[in-house]
Amino acid sequence: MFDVNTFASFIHLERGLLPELVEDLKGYGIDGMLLSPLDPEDYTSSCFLNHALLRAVEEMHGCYVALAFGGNAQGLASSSKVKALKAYPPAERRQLELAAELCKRLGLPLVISLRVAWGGACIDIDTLRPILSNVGGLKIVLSGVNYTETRWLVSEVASLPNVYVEISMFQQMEGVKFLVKRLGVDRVLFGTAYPLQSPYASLLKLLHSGLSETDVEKVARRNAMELFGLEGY
Amino acid sequence: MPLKLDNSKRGRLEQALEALKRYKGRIIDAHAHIGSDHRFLMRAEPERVLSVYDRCGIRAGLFSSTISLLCGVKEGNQHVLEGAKRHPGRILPLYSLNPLEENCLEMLKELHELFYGVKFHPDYFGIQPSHPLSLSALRQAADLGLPLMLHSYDGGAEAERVARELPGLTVVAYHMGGVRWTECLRRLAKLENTLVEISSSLANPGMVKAAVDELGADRVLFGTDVPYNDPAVSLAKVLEADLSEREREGILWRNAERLIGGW
Repeated sequence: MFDVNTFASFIHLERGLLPELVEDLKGYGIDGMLLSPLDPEDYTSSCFLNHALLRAVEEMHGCYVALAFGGNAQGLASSSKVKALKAYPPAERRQLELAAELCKRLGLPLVISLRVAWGGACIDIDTLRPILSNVGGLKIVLSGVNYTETRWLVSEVASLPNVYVEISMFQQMEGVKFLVKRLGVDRVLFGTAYPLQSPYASLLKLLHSGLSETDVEKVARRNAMELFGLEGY
Repeated sequence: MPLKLDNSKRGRLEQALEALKRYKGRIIDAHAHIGSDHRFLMRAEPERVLSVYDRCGIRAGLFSSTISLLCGVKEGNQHVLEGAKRHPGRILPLYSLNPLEENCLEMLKELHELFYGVKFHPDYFGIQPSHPLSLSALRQAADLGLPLMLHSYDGGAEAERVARELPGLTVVAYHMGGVRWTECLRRLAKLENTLVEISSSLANPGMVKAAVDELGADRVLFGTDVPYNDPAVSLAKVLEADLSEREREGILWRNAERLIGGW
C-alpha cells in the first residue's frame, strides 16, 4: 500500500527518528509513502525541513517526498526522491498560484492540504476555486478534504480530471465508496495523515469500503504509482 | 475484502483484522443515526446502515434520526421508532428531547419502554442541558431510568454541570469532547455518573487509552456517529489502543449492555 499523506515532524528529522516512523507504517502493511514536512511555518523552517527530509529518505526504499512550497523547493526538486510540492493551510490564493506555476515548470504534481489536523487552519473552497479552474495540464491532489467539501467535490471537482482526492480525513460513512462513485476510481488516493491519525482509520475505511478488489488495489497503490511515476518502487 | 500485501511486515494490520473477526456480531454502537443529511449528501436508510454494520461486525446501535436534528424531534422520534420496528434488536431507539418544543415529554411518557435513552443536542436544539427548562425535563427522564446522551463539543462542560446537578442521571458525553477531548476527560474523570463515547472525526493515536486511564475502562463506550463518520474511524481508535482484552470487550459492547440492560 502507498500512503500519499505521511508527515515528518521537526522532532523526527532532528532526532533521526524517521526510520522508526517508516518501520512503524510498514508494520501496518504500508510499504511506500509520500512524506511531507509537518508544520513548515515559514521560509526558514520550510528550508530546514525540506532539506532534512530529503536527506533522511535518500537511502529509504519506497519513501518519497512532497516538498513544502515556500522554502527551497525549487532548488531541491531535481532529486529523484521528490515527487510533488505541497501547499499547507492557511495558504492564500496568491501562494497557491505561485505553487501551481512552479509545479507546472518542474513537471510535478501539486498536493494541496486543505487541513492537516481537525480543528486547525484550513484552505477554503473560495480560495481553491480559481486555482482549480486554471490547472491546465497540472495534476493536483486535494489532501485533508472532509464532509464540509462533499457538495463541492461533486458539483465542481468531479468535472476536473486532473484533480485527485486523498482519503485520510474524509470520514463519512462509506466515504471512500462515495468518492470512487462520484469522482471515478482512478482519482482517489490512499492516505493516512500518520502520525497525526492512526493508520487503522484509513486502512479500515478502505478495506471495509465494499469496493471490488481491483478498485481497492487502485486506491491503495496503483493510482499513486501512476500519478507520481513510481512504477516498480 | 482480502487485500494482497506483498511485504513481510504486516503484523499489525493482520492482528487487527483477526481481532475484528473475533468481535464480529457482538459490537454495540452507542451513537448512530438513521435518515439523510442533504448538507453533506449523506443517506442513512436503516438497511444501508445495517449493511455497513454487517461489514464491520456491529450487532446493534443506539439510534436517533437526523430528522430530529434538522426538522423536529417529534417527527424524528416517530422515524426512529419505525426503524426500530422494522429491525428489532438492531436499531435501538433513543428519544430526542428538545425542551423548547411543546409537550416535549409526551411521547416518552407514553412509550418510554420502547426507548433506550434520551438524546440531547444543544447546538441543534438551541438550548443548553443545564438550562432550568432542560433540567426539569431531564429530571423526569432520569426518573424513568433512562441515560442521557449529550453532545459534548464544549469539552464536556455541560455534561459536567448536568451530572453534578442530577446525580441520579447517567450522562454519556457523546464525542468525548470532540477536539477538546483531553479537557473533557479531565472534567468528567471524578464524576462516577458519567461515561464517554469515543466517536468523532478525530482519530488521534492515544485517545481511547487516555480515556481508559482517566475514567477507567468501564466508563468508555464505542460509538460511530454513522453516517457522519464511518465505523472504521472509531474501530481504528479502539484497535490501536494498548488495552487488555477485557478492557477492549468492555468498550466495544459490555459497557453498553450494562448501560441499557438486555433487549
